Amino acid sequence: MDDPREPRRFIRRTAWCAVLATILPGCGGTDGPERVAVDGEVTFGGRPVARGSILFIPIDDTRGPRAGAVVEDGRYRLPKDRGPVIGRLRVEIRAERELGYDITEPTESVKHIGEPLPQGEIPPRYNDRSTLVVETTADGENSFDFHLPAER
Amino acid sequence: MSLKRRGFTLIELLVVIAIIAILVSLLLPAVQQAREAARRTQCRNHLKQIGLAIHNYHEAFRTLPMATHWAPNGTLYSAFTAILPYQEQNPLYARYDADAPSYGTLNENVIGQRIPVYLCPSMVLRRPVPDTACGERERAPGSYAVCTGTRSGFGRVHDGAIVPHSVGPTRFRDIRDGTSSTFLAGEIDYGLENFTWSSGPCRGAPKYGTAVWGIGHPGMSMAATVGLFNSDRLVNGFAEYETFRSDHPGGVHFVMVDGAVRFVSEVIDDRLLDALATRAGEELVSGF
Repeated sequence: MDDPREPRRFIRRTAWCAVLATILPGCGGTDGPERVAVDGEVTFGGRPVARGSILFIPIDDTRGPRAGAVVEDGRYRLPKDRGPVIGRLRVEIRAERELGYDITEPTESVKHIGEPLPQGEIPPRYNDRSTLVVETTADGENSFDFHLPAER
Repeated sequence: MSLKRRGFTLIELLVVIAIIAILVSLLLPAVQQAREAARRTQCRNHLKQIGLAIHNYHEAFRTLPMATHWAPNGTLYSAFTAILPYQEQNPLYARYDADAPSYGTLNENVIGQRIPVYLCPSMVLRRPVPDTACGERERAPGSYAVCTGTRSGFGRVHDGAIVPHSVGPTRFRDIRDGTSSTFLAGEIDYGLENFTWSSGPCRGAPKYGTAVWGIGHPGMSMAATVGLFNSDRLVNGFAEYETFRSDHPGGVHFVMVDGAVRFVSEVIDDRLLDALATRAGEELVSGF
């Protein structure tokens, strides 16, 4: 401790430790499977879907949560943090369904119990019984356009 | 001659201040995390209490409580009302009229009571509940919902542990997927950014959610895995409105039918989540 440089070295070491302690917690990967950003166009019978939704559901060996986006004026876009996982995905596309009553208010919804919910203009072959499949890749474009014919 | 004075130079002071600033900046997030961890623990405990109360209900009635009395002009009798006596809320339960609608004026003074066990301390109420200025009737918020399965609670198919009276009641013996791998109840919140009032004076203003313990209604005291899990917005119609979600970072707490409280990450595989939500889907469930 007779060395006059000793306290300065101590301060320098402490400073380095503090810097490392600040930076290191930022390292380490994020949890969960890797996601990708997706975007594209959706038309039904040649016209852009004004309001609706698109879902990407993992199938086969693809593991991970489902992802979904609102379709507005025939376009959808999902950023990477909410996007689908990499692999084969089943796609479900729905048009907005007009209910005519407030389903979130029991005084109104209780009068309509048992009524089937309206389907919207896009038929079940593109949503509940959809056979649309896309494959996302880690280093690809991941733009998927869906031009759905109104007639079979 | 020695003019050397005892004291600190400007540099030394600045270094000390900088080090203190770094230490505080390290400490503050840690304090916030510790606070959230404490709230989570309490939230998990509330789910445990709800699980125990449902077990006690099953002990007494030999069935699980029903999610709702779901029929045209039904009473919408909530499972959380049914288990009030097992939450040491006997006086409140005695004031409840089970023949009258839960959302009507007769039961306002019961379902308007805030019950601490039914509220998760992490849940943020982004609007007043009830919002009487927007035309909402008297009701107290809740943070938990029973699991009716993988399909919409507004539909006819209910494949979860706790179901509406139209298909219920269920018993423990109906949980053929195993009580440790089936959800009993989970969390729900006021976090849907694009969910708005569709009528009344607040039409178009954010509504965020309708989680209420006293009304047996999807999105209030019933939830499923029909929409995007732990979503902060509506995407697919009202599917996310009646899907489990929470204000905890990264996932949602559930109490399983066996009474265990589990944290389910929001990046859980889609099919595994649905497998956990069904009572008799006969799926293989391994580790979650």
